[in-house]
Amino acid sequence: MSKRKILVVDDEIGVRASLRMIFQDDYEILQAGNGEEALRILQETRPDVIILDIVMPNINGIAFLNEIQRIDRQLPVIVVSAIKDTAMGQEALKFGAFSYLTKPFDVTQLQQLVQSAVIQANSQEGLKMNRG
Amino acid sequence: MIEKRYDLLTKKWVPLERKGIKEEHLSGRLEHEEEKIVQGYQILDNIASGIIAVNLEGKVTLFNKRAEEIIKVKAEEFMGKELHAAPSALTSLLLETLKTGKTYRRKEVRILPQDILVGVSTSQFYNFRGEVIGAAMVFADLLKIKEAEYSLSQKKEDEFWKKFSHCLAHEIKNPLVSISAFTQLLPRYYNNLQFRENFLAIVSNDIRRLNNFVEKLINIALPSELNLESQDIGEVFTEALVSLRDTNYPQTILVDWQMTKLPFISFDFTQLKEALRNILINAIEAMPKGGTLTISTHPVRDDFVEVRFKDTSAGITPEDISCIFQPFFTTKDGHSGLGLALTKKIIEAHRGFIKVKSEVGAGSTFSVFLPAHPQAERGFQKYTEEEIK
Repeated sequence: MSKRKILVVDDEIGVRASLRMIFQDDYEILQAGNGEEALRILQETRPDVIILDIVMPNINGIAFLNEIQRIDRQLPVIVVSAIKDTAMGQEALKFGAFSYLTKPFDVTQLQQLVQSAVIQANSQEGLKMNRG
Repeated sequence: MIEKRYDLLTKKWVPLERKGIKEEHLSGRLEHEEEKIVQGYQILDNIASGIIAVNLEGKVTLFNKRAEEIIKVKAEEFMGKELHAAPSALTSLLLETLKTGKTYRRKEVRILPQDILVGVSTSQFYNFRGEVIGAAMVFADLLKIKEAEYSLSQKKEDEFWKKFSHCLAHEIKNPLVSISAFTQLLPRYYNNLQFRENFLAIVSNDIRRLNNFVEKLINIALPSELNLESQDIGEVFTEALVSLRDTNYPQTILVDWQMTKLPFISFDFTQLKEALRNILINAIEAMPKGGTLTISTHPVRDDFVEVRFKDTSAGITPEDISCIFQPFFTTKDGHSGLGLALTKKIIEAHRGFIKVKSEVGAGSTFSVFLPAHPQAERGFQKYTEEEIK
């Protein structure tokens, strides 16, 4: 069975590289440095989970989150940011984010989050298939 | 025919008592005059300052609504009565002006027991023959004014700290991601050489970035002394451009190189390189879809050399132009907003200056002017920024 895919959307090259190091053993890592790249990847591939930095140049994070939801409502998005902004976190959760984390991450917590996001998305997928 | 009059105490229109006055005496002209006076009183009631006036006998003839509000008393307690009866820091000033003619301008007075701080101006007033017929004072609630000033400066300070902490969070917490992840994963992957090597490269890069950020911050706040040497400015460009080679911008920028041979000028190589590099970075990032950057040098009279960077970006709005050299100002979310602030500091330390011309949709031009002679002060004073176009 092929590896599950994580799409990392972050303009910070160091953050993308770190997430690759954290997850590369168990997941295939796709990387996008901006929203455009992320959308291009989403047109071609369906990742199992997205880790999205909500504060990036030239992007309204919440609007971008909406855009992802529009493409695929079942796709779990873990939203991250450098600044702990409770209002933005709540806003992200309201707009369907799976979870909201601030940088730097607790690696174990992030790994568990990614795992549960994948499980939840798959069970929804399964339900859909059963119903269908 | 007048039916009502405006009562100054109650601030209301009341029926006119016309004892002994025959109706025919109340001509239209009188009616007109009274209306004018009433209008005047209404205006006085609505202005933002307190006004109290007394006649020659020291009896109160005017006590406007704002005066009531500021001193927290009722006008009717004073109207028509002698001001001596209510001694206070405020009334004694007015009576002094009435007696001696001495005027006050924005004198700060504290009124007790209400403990109100007011700024007072006083003056006598005269009839058409020039004779003194009374005195008036105008006063404003200084506390309110000071509060407003304080809240404006507080707002600016809050804004500064907000930008500062956003910048700190971004510039420190992002590199911390790799450092923190590395330390958390290291026990598990300790024997994995490839892991150690790959992650060390990422971590070292982020440590360098943290260090650069702190250096920039320090250079803005505490600029280091210039190490001036007479040299070729062209060399700085070459090095500044070479230093950008490692950055991975995806867009293609054509650099149109229009350098005239310039005399050697005196500058600090490292600092000027940093200053020009920040302008280059700014230009590249202003053209995310690519474009042309024209770099040219021009002698300006005998005193300055101009280095001009003209880009084909979308341009800068007039509101943003006034802020681009302020620390922490950025229109790009992922940026510290320190680059151009540092550039300005460095150029000014060289006794030069920097000008920006930009039009939305027509690109931007950054011009750096550096003094051509070591006796820079002389040149700088001779031509101000405005004189050189």
